[in-house]
Amino acid sequence: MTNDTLLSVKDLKVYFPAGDGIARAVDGVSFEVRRDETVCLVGESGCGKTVSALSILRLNPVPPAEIAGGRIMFDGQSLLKLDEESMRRLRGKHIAMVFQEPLTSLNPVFTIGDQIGEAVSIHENIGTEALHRRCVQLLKSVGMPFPEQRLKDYPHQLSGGQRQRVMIAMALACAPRLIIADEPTTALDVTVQAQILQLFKSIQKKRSMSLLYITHDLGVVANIADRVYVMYAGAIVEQGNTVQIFRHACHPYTQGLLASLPSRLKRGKRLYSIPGVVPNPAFKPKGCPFHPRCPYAEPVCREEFPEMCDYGDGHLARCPVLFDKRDL
Amino acid sequence: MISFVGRSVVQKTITLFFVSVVSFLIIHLAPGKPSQVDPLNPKFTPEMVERFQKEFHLDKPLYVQYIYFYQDLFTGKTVSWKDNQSVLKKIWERFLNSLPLFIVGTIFTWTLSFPVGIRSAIFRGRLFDRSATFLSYLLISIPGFFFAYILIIFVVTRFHVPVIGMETFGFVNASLPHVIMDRIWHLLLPAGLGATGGVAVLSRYVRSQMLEVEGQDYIRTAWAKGLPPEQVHYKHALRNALLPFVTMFGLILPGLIGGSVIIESIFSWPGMGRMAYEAILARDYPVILTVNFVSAVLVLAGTFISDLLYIVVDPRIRL
Repeated sequence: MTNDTLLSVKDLKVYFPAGDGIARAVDGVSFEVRRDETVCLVGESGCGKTVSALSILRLNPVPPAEIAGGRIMFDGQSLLKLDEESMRRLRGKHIAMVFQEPLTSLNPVFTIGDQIGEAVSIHENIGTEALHRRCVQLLKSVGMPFPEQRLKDYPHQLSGGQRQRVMIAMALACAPRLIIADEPTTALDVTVQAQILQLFKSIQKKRSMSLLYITHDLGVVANIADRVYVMYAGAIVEQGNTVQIFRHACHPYTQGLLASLPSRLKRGKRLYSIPGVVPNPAFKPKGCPFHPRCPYAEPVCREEFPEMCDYGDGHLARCPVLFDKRDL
Repeated sequence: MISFVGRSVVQKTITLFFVSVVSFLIIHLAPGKPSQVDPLNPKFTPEMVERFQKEFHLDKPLYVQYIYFYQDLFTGKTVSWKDNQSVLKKIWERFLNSLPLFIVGTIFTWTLSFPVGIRSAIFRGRLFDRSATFLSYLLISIPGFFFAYILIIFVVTRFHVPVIGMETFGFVNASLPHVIMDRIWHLLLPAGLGATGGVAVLSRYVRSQMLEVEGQDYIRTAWAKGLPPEQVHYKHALRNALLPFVTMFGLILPGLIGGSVIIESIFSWPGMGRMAYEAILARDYPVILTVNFVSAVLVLAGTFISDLLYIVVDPRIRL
């Protein structure tokens, strides 16, 4: 962990009781977010992205969730050891979150102004006048038209994109050092997605803050990420900067994901898809969790959980089989 | 807004008309006739029955009787067939008796159910929630009349205070504090008993409603903002959880008239419920029908009030 690191998650394990077994939704995830950078966490639905993200703010309901191990360090503080009150002061002020569903993530019975203002006034001592000005300023900064009038609106009076802008304004309210965005564009239609993505990029550039962006959309990743973590079945399988991941993918899963992207070169051909489905977190296969779907699987993959292999320059992949073949 | 009020008044008047027709028909469909309450009574000679039928238009066709009845009702001339007293006056007297019972019972019910239900939801699965759940089911399953007798025995033998009726007989000349205390003692038990069932059921509703809201995305947003737990629970969650109860609040209005027949009978409380019950046994049609009509009016007024309240509390509903 260097001085440059803002957030570091080490060997995080989050388990849920599932019927008669345990669903190991997050099973030893480690990643880092440095100051002023955008990190993407990529993976299929159900691979543990959201649970990892919620664990940073300790928003997973405990019980049923159980943090079975690991460490989360934010700016020198161990978040998992913090008492509830200190954790509360941190939420929204230093780490803010933008959620996937802008339609249901805003409280329907309070106005936009109330909800944004609340995010400010809970952490700062601020007068009514100043608070109003701050709210207008925030809405303006996320590109909301007519911010003055919008403050008096209720969530149902806004479109999906506008609601997501409100969510972002709310996240920015106290100028946090880290924003966690959990699939913020998934519920929006394509043109609005592009606008929101652009907004994230410009905000991140303008303010010195880090962005942890969770998505399953590789197009989005290519667009905004500095570094990428690819997650599969509760673990990181590959990490590196955007060029390393997109040009020199070293894990069969990442390669499969990239091969399933449509592109002009593949016009007219049948689109590739990885055979099989993501394993149920309660019944993960022994060894490498990806081996039943992997074209390179060898007998050893069925037995041993693979180690991270270092390709140098921050590029790591959890596939010793391909690592051994790299120079061939 | 004005058009909404106008529209509902028209709709509700139409509903009321149908209610009046249906209840009139049902009463006349029921077995037994007012003139034949006691055919064995030697005082009831055939001539008397005939006179009785003539006097109350019972020999006319039904639709004529219907018109006669509602004409009398709206001009305030309806009288009971039993004692020839004005029905509206009778109902008003009984209503004033039922009112304190109803008000105190309602206050008990609503002020107890909400704290219990909300706390159960917040501390779901903990000791408080489990004991509240156990108590609710216990109170729901114990029959009211049984519980009432147990409580009466307990209070009378333990505190030596009489609890039957509205006041102690012959207590008129006592000093004012004594009279007040006597009234309170007489009121407390039936009102409390009426409330126990209400609390048991309503607190369950509050709990499940609160639990549902606590699982919503916007509650997670509230936590993520760094709001303290009180604000998350009592501002963001409660405000949403309250919405369905606004409807219920309008609908308790008819409880004014129905009251609780069982509680009133056990405690010999001269209230509305008991009067209606006795009227039914005596086939006193004017009283039954008037009580029925008044409660229909109260139901419709209640729904109208809840519609209006809904507009106030839920910004998503606009007219």
